[in-house]
Amino acid sequence: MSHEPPGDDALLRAVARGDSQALADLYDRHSGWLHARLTRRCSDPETVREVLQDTFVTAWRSADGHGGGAVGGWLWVIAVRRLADARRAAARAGSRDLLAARAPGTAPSAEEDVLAGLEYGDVGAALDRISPELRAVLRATVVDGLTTRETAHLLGIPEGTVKTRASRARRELRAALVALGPAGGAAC
Amino acid sequence: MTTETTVHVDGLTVRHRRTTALDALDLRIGRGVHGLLGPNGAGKTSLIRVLATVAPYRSGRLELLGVDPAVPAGRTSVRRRLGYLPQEFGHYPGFTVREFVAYMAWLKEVPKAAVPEAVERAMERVGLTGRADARIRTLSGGMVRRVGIAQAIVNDPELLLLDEPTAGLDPEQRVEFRALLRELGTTSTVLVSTHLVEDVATACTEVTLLDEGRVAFCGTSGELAAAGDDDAAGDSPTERGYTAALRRHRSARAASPEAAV
Amino acid sequence: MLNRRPTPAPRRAERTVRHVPDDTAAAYADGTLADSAAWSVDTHLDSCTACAIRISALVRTGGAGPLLAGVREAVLEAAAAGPRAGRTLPWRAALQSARVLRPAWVGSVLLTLAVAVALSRLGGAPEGRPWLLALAPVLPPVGVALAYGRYGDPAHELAASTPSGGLRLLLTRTGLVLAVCVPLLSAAGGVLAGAGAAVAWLLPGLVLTGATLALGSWTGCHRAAVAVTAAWLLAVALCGLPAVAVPLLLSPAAQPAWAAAAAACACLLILRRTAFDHLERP
Repeated sequence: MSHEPPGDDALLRAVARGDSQALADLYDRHSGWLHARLTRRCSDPETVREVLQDTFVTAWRSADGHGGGAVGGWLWVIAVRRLADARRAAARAGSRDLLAARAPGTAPSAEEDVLAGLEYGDVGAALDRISPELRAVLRATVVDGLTTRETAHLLGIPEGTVKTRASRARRELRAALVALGPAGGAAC
Repeated sequence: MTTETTVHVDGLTVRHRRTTALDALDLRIGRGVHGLLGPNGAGKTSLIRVLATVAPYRSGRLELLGVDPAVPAGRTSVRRRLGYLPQEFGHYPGFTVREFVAYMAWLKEVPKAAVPEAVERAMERVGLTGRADARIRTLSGGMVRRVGIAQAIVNDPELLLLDEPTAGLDPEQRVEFRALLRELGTTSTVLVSTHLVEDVATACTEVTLLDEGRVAFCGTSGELAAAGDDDAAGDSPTERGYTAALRRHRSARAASPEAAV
Repeated sequence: MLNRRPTPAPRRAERTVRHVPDDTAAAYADGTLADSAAWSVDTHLDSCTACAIRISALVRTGGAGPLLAGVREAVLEAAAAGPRAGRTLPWRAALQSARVLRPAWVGSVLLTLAVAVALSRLGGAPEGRPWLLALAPVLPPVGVALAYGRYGDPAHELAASTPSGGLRLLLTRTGLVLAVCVPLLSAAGGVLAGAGAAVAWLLPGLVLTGATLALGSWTGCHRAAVAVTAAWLLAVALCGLPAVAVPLLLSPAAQPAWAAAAAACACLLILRRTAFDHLERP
C-alpha cells in the first residue's frame, strides 16, 4: 500500500510520444477504477464500455494537452464528459431507459462503510438522507467537478433544474445535518 | 423539459444600403433545433449574422443567452458560448483539420488545458478523426463543411448558429448531420437556416419561416406541415405547408401592409 | 458553508496520505460501497495513483475482468490504427494562422530591401540610407493591414464571432508582423548604412503601426494603413526628398517626439479597445 509507483506523468509523456506500451500501462493502472466509477453513474454496461474505450483513445490522441495535474483526475474529466455525450446521444435517440437509469446505484448503506470510508463524519450520514436525484447533482458538481451545463448533459436534465436541485440539495443537506444533532456542527 | 427562451429578438431592423433585410423582426427561440426557412433574400443570413454578433443592426433589441450583446462584457460572454458556421466558410487551406479547430478553440477562449480534448471531441462528432492531420485543401467539399461544423461546436456552444450547413453534404452525410443536430439540440439552442425543407421536417422541432425580412410563420414543424392544403404546391406535407404559409402571409400583407407582422 | 463542506476531503487525503482501506477498496471495486463513502474514494482517486492501481487490480479480478480485457485490446488496436497525439497547442495554431495569411507582405519587406539596395548602388552608397529609412517605417502598418481583417484574413468572419477575434487577434498578428519586420529591416539598415540606421526607423515604424491600429478602430485597418502610409510619404515629400527629409524626421532630436506619439497611440488604442469587437466595415 505504501509503495510509490513510477510517475504517471512520465507515463503520459511516453503516451504523448506515441508509445503504445505506455498506453497499455496507463490502461492497466486506471481502467479498473474508471470502470467502477463510471458504473456507479451509468447502469448500462454497454455505455460504460464505450465510454471507457473512448476515454483511453482520447487520452492517446490528446496526451500532449495534459497540463501536468493529477493524471487520474485528468482521465476522469475526459471520461465523465464522454459519459455526458453518450447521455446526450441517448436522449436524442429517445431511448429513455438510459436516462431512467441515471439515479445513482443505491447500495445498502452500511453504517461501518460510511464511518470507515468517509472522513467528514456526519456529513456522510446526512448525504445518505437526501434524495438520489439531489445527490446525483451534488456528486456531479462537487465530486466530479462539472459545470452546471456539463451536469445538465450528464444527468439529462435542463440547466435550470440543475441549479434548483443544487440549491435544494444544499438546503436538505443542512436540514439533515441539523436533524443529526450537534455532532454535525462539530464536524465543521 | 421546460424551455426557457435563450434568444430574444425585439423589433430587429437590418438594412443593407437601400434594401431592408430584416423589418422590425420579433422572435423567441428556446433550447432545441430551430429551423429557419424562407426564399432567397428573405433575410435568413442577415438574421444569423446579427445573432452571431458579427453584423450591426439599425434598430431593435437583442438578448442572447440572457445577456445583451451590445454591451462589451455581454458580447464577450455570449461569444464564448457561441458557435457559428457562416454560409461562406472562410478557412486556411494549408491548415490541418486539427490545427484549424484548435485555432478556433483558441479564439473562443477555451481553457488551454482543455483544448486538445475539445478538439478531439469535435472532430469525432463530425466523423473527421481519421482525417485529423490532413490539410484542409486536400478534403472534399462535404468534409470541409464538416470541418466548419467541428469548429462551430468545439467550445460546446449553448447557442449554435448554422447558415446552410447541409449545402455540399451528400445524402448520407446529411442524415448523419441531422442526427448530430438533434443531439446538440437536447442541451443547446440550435438555429439552422436551410433551403432544404426536408432538413426541417426531420431535424427541427420548431420552424420560423421568413419572407422579405418578416416572420411569415412560426411554429412546430408539425404545425407547418398541417398548414398546407391540397392546392398548395409541394411534394411533401412540409413543402405544401411551406408554400401555403408563404402564400397566406403574402396575401395578408398585400391586404393590409401595416397589420401584417 | 455547506456547499463547501465536501472540499476538505481531498485536501486532507493529500496532506496525510491516508489511503483507501482494503475493505473500502474492495467494496468500491464491486460497487457495493455506499454513495457518500464512494464520494471520498472518488475524490481520492483523482490524485492518488497508488490507490488507483490497487482498485484497478481489484476490479480486473472481479466480474468486469473480461470486459476490461476486451476494451484494452480495442484501445490498443485503435491506437495502432488511428492518428496518435497530435500537436494541438492553440497558441501555435494562432501563430500559424498568420504564417499562412500573406506571404505576400513578407515579400514586400524583401522587395523594399532590394529596392533600397539597388537605389544605393545606383546613386552611390550614401543614397541607400535615406531611401531605406523613408520606406521602412511604412512596412509594419502595411503588413498589419494585410494580416488582419476582412481583406487579409479568409477566416475573419469566423474570428469576428469569437471573444478573441478583436483586439487580441489584431495584437497577435501585429506582434508577428513586427517580429518579421524588425530584425529584417534593422539588419538591412545596419548593413547599408551603419549601426545608427539600424534602429533609427524603429520608433517611427512603431508610431505608424500604432497610428494604423488606432485609426483602424474607426475605419478598419486596411483604410487606416493606406491613410497612414500616404501621410508619411507626404510628410517625407513636403520636407524635401528623402535625402533631406529623413535626417530631419529621424534625427536624434526628433526621437522624443516619436516616443510621445507612440505613447499617445497606445493610449488611444486602449480607449478604443472594444471597437475591434465588430466586423470591419467593408
